[in-house]
Amino acid sequence: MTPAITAMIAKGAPAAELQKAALSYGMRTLREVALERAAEGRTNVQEIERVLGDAAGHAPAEPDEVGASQAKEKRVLVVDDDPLIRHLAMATLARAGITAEEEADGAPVLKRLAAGEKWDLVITDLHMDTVGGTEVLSAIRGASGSMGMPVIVLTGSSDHDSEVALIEAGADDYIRKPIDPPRFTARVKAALRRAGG
Amino acid sequence: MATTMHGVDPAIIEPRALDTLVRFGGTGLLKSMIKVFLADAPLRIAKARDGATARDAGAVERAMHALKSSAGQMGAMHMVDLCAAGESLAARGQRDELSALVAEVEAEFESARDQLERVLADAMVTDPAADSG
Repeated sequence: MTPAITAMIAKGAPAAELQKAALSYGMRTLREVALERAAEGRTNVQEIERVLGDAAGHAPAEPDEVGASQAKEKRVLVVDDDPLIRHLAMATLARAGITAEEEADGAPVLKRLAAGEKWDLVITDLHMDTVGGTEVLSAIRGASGSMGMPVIVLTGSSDHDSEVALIEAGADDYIRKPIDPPRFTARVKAALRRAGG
Repeated sequence: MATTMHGVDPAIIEPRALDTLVRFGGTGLLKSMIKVFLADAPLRIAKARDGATARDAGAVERAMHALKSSAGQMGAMHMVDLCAAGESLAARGQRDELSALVAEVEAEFESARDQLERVLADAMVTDPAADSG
């Protein structure tokens, strides 16, 4: 707890303001912490849903309004050659109130980057038929106009070395497939938040 | 045949994968995911089959990798295992064994298709309005 947060509580600040301030100090929501523990095998998503229910920012039946306000105006690009994964990613982002564009291969992304397009976050598959995620990542990090652009890599691999290589190549995060929608949403929001959103 | 949540045989479709979709996006998301999977997987299998016929291990490896990912998302775990085996065979250049493995993947997909079509039909009956796919 920081002194600033303590002071806000003492003044009776609304919960939304407290949450915003806490997140800006690097604190995390209960759900994010719980999802990390699930990723470590210390709990599971069903248990998180049972304990937290709708109380911690994730309402299964309704679009996430907190996410919507947080992520408004953001440009997110999803790149995957698998229409099933793209469909799930786009549906998941839409439920979080995040508008996203999609591409089915890295090749058009390279063209759009070369034309000067920018996104607040790029989520790219690693293995694609023509141009893969490693090349997309390399193009983003290699150009002065996009080198700071956040990139999350989707991978079907559970290979430790490839994950290390991705992070060393400049990926901000990686998400293993199959996609778990609540975890995916949390990681995307965290990336957008770290990027200033 | 043992059946469980969603009426699926857990040896073919892991029901928790379907449940995850329903809990997050409702029946509409489940239905649209099934439709996309049933439309796309045959195209990937055809690519794998063509690759095996042409003894193009790279094409088989790519198709198997993509299928593994889709099958995993839909809980078709035996199909995932077969695709992983095919991907591994192709990566090692064992071309003589690829056609048989692709045939196994195709047969397992047909079993998964049967299960998922039933889930889809049930979802249409119980929640016809939530058809977003």
